[in-house]
Amino acid sequence: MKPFMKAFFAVLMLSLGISAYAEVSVIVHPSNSNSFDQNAIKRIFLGKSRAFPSGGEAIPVAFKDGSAESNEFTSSVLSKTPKQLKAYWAKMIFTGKGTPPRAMDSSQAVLDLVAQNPSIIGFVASGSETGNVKVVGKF
Amino acid sequence: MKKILVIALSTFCLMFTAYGQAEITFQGFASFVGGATLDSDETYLDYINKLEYDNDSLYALQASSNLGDGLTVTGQIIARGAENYQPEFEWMYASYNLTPTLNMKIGRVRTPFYMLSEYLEVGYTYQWIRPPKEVYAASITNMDGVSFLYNMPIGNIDSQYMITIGNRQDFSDDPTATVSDYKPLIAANAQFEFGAYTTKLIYTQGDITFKSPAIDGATAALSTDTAFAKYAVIENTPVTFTGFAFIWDVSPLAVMFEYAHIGFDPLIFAADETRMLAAFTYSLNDANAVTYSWSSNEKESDSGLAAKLDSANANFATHQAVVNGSLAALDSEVTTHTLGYRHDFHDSAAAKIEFISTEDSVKDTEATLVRFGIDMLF
Repeated sequence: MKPFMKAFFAVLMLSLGISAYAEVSVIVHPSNSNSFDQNAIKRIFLGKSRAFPSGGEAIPVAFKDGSAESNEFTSSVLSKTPKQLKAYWAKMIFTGKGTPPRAMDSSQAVLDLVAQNPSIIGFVASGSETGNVKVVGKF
Repeated sequence: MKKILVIALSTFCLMFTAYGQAEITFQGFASFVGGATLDSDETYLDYINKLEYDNDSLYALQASSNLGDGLTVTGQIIARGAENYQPEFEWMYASYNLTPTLNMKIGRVRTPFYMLSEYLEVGYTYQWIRPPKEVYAASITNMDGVSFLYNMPIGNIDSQYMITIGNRQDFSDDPTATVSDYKPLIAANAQFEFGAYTTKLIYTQGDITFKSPAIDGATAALSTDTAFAKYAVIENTPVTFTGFAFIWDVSPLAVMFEYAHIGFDPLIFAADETRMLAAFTYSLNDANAVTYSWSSNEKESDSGLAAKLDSANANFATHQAVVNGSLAALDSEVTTHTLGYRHDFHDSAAAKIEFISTEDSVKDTEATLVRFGIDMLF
């Protein structure tokens, strides 16, 4: 019975771990000492804010449209559907109020950019973070 | 046509990027719309009882070059079916971020008269084929000058303030117009967003000058009544637009309400207007939505003007006829109901169909219009 229960819990923990894959971690350069709430991150990624709370320039980078990370970020952090986000950026672009963040192809590309540039803020699938970036939120 | 637009825009941007390595980004939007009224003597929004595809179709290409350090240069060319697809620069400006929250633009920019005015022609961004004309009719869509945009969060409320100062010359499509200017034109607005609520307050004022043979004729006919003359000429006449709008977006329902008032200094050629709309959109799912809107436009001429004529003038009777005739032609009260359906069949395109029923209770006319089309982003 006991070994069975152990195995059962192990499988349970594993399955919970798998569903937790859907999370994204928002990351910044290790020297970035700002604290961020969801609203602050949302404002930067929607082009409403061009600076970090402390005043330094904030440059957001995103994942390409349609990727799992992008969809998760759009729904959990930006609280929009992909179509709403597309319409939002169309309004911003065609009224000259902003342009969408650059879309990267891979987690490694995002991690490299964030590790090199203190102005960059990005996100990766939770679990992909490496030691040379700082996690400021998980959603 | 696309080739011409691309060449024109590339040349425009290259003028600014000659020294830099900045790349040019192209984006665009297009609408292909057809429609017809249902009865032979009905017309509405320039549609008649025969299927036509020009009135609302358009193709727009925007080129933008980020020169770094907060400086970008942007040009947008639009070819409208209503203007025989003649491409014209709808806007072209240099934009500079003075601070992280204050942006300045200089050049030709869109006029922010109403809630959706700045993206009035990007059909993809709203539920109608075009927003109701009762509110969104505007003789000008852009102006030349300087614009400032300031972003300021107030707690959890996102607020944005914009002021544009400039002018707009030769705005009229009327081929007989000899002068048509708004000089100066100052447009200010404040927008507040909080959760599901967005509110916008709008105020614009300008001095309008308009001359054409028809207007000149009336001016000349009344010229001997010198005290009255100022009501019979449109020269640096003050006009003000005041309005507010709010949107409540709480999926799957979205509600929008807008009110605007346009006031002219007393003139026999222009009437004060009250514009309103209320719209309800219900999203059946992420790709389908139904929308109903009610919109109204009331034009009321200044009836007290006829009393200002000099009754002792030799031509008093003629003057009365000219003035009363001009005033009566201005009055109207239009109420319109629109029922529309939107289907997003593609990531970047939406198909729409609308049934519109409109009537003018003063001029005693009515019309039913069916309009269908596709709005795209690229």
